[in-house]
Amino acid sequence: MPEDVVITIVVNGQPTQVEANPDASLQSLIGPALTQTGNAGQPPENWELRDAQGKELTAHDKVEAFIGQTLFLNLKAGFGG
Amino acid sequence: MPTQFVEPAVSRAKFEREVAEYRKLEQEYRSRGWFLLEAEFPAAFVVMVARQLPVPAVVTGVRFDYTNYDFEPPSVQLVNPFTGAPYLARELPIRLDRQVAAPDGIQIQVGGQPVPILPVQPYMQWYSPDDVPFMCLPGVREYHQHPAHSGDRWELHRATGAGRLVRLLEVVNRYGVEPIDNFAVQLQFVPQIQGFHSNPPK
Repeated sequence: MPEDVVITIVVNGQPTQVEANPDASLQSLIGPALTQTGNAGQPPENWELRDAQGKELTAHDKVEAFIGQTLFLNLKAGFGG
Repeated sequence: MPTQFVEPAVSRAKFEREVAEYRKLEQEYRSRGWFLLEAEFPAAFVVMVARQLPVPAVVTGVRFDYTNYDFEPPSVQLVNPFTGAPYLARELPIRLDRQVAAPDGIQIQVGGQPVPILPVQPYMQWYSPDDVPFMCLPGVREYHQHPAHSGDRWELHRATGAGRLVRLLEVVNRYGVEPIDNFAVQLQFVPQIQGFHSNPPK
């Protein structure tokens, strides 16, 4: 079983480091990242994870492809207008 | 300019936290085309560039006002990046358009295939072309002060980070800057006649 790696996730501008199994889905990092930064007001599905280029990451993206990168987790825009 | 009625040290500390966190990752944000040019409590001014274009283009300035934060959400305005003046509705370079679900799944037939119609709704709203538009988004002061949103109070969003600097810039970037994929160039051929063409006499 591969060793856990650390991924830096910036939650609404606040960086945090999350340990994860390289085989895990990136989506599994959202819950711990929110907990570690004290963002408990909205469920994980109301957040979106993106890479440094701004590409939205999905449940198909694995941790191993993003080792050493900084990812960005932001609250979805939601309703308005 | 709103009056600061929250203890200034509190709002200032929270504003400075926003700026400090931004500065920590400034290089990342710059690589995405965001430039934080001014950050003096209570205001922050960011210029956003569409770096994906063959010739990167300055798209808009974004001015934040964190007066009374976070008892109140920040004010957010799209402004002229060169003068800092708020854009009027008729001057807006971007409207922050987003696709919304079609009512009752309305579709049209294109080449025999059903294609859903996806209406577009802008986050920037106004009543007349000469109005300064406001960003109609939870987490923005103008949204929560609008009488139509009295049922969606800031207190419901305050703990979610909805008013944080980077989150609001992400929204402008996603709906305003990222979708730009080219310049729209209009060329107009205007014939000009200057004097007469003649064969000079010998």
